Amino acid sequence: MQKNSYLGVGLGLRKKHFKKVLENNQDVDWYEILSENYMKFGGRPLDVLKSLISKKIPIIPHGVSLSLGSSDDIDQSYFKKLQQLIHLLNPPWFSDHLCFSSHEKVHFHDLLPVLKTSESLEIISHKINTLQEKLKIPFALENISYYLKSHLDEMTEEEFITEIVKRTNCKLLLDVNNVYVNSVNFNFNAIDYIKSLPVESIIQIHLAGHWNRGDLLIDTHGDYICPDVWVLYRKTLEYLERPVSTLIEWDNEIPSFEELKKEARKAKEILKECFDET
Amino acid sequence: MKLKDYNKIWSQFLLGKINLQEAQSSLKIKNPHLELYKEFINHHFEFALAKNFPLTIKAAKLKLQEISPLYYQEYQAYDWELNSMGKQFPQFLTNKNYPLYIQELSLYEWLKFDICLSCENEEEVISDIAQEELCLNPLLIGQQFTYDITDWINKDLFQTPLELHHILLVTRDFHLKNCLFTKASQILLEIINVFLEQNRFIEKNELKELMLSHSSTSKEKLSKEIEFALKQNIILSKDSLCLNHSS
Repeated sequence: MQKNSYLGVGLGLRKKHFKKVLENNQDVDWYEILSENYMKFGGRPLDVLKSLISKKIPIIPHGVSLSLGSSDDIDQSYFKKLQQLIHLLNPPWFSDHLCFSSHEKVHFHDLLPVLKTSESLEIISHKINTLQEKLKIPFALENISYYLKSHLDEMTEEEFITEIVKRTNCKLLLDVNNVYVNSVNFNFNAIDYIKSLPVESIIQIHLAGHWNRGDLLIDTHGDYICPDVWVLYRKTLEYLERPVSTLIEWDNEIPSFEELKKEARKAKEILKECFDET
Repeated sequence: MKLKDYNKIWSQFLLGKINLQEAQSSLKIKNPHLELYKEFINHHFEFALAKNFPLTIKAAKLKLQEISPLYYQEYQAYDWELNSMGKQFPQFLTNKNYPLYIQELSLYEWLKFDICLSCENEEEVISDIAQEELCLNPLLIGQQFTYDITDWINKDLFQTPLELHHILLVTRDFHLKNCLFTKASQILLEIINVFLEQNRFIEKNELKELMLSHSSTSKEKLSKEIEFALKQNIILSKDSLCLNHSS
């Protein structure tokens, strides 16, 4: 499974780069799309997507609105659209976050921390199992950056994620920047955290930039990947002893396509240094 | 705590129904960063409004940091789709009694954004029609305007626009998916009415005959208007894809 799931280094597909993407598609191994931006709409975004599909460039749908950590059931209109998108893309996996983003039909459009209790574990695992069963492809769960901890939690994030993987056999999308941001904000060892996860399930890695507010690191996806995150990425790969599909995320103040490709090349160099065969 | 109650407390806090102290206490959170999440959500709404309504913001001199939280408090997002966050903004401006031309400018900007991303596929419709047949564009939107917004946005946004009671027809370019705006003439409206009444594909010559039977328009003028309607994608033919609308 692991070898077949390795796609190389990808970029987030953003409207700003549509023209360049269509011109330069051979330079980028694969793309990740924000699922919701392609689930209801046609127009130019869909045309670009279909063009990439025709060129057999892998595209992974990455969602922000599944709201796994909400007590509400999965929105059926959302599910149907996601199903259609997956049918169109035929991706090796799809992903979303360990968070909740809606409650009783109100959408906050932000990744809010989940309650880590046995009841919540049951609800989230049930949703993931249902999704994987119906969509017939693996789901990859992404760790989020968070800025507070609740004493209502009955387990740590690592324990919670490990238990979800055990109950669902889902994959993990390890956001190395999020781990780094959380480790600085909450003063824990980032690589120890990663080692405590069911690492054999890691199918994809996210790399992104953050903002140092002074008292807090904030995950903005709006800057270059910082040196410490590159170091953590290398340490993660060394620990995993295998290449993992890696995605450069940049969503705010998006730079030129060339600048994004430079970041992707850095990731490729690290992969090459760690694993000769990539 | 039950997950439903946890979600509910977060929701109440984010929607301003309970204060920070109540939320922190109920969620058993000791550090001071709960308020940060409100800032994140406001930022998302600010971003959405800035993206969808750049001209409205400029013309009305709106301060996004002030208006965005007010908009969010009144019009929460009921859709998982991120682009829908700005959908109710024209209505918000109406309720806040902004001048009618500001309301219409926001509606113009929303229509432009909405139609460009529409899932309707005009090409599928074309594939169904015969060579000589014409049909009404399924995407076509007709919107009544009091002010000449299309003219105004190319001039000084800080001057009040001219009044021009008219219907604006909205379609999109086949290739670039850009928006096409057309001020509806009487003949264009009559052409549209024929298609709405007949509710079928119509051959070009038959359309002319139908039009001429109850209109005083000359045959030459009518032909010109039909070609114009085709160029603006108001009506479609088998050759619509080949027309260069992007110029």
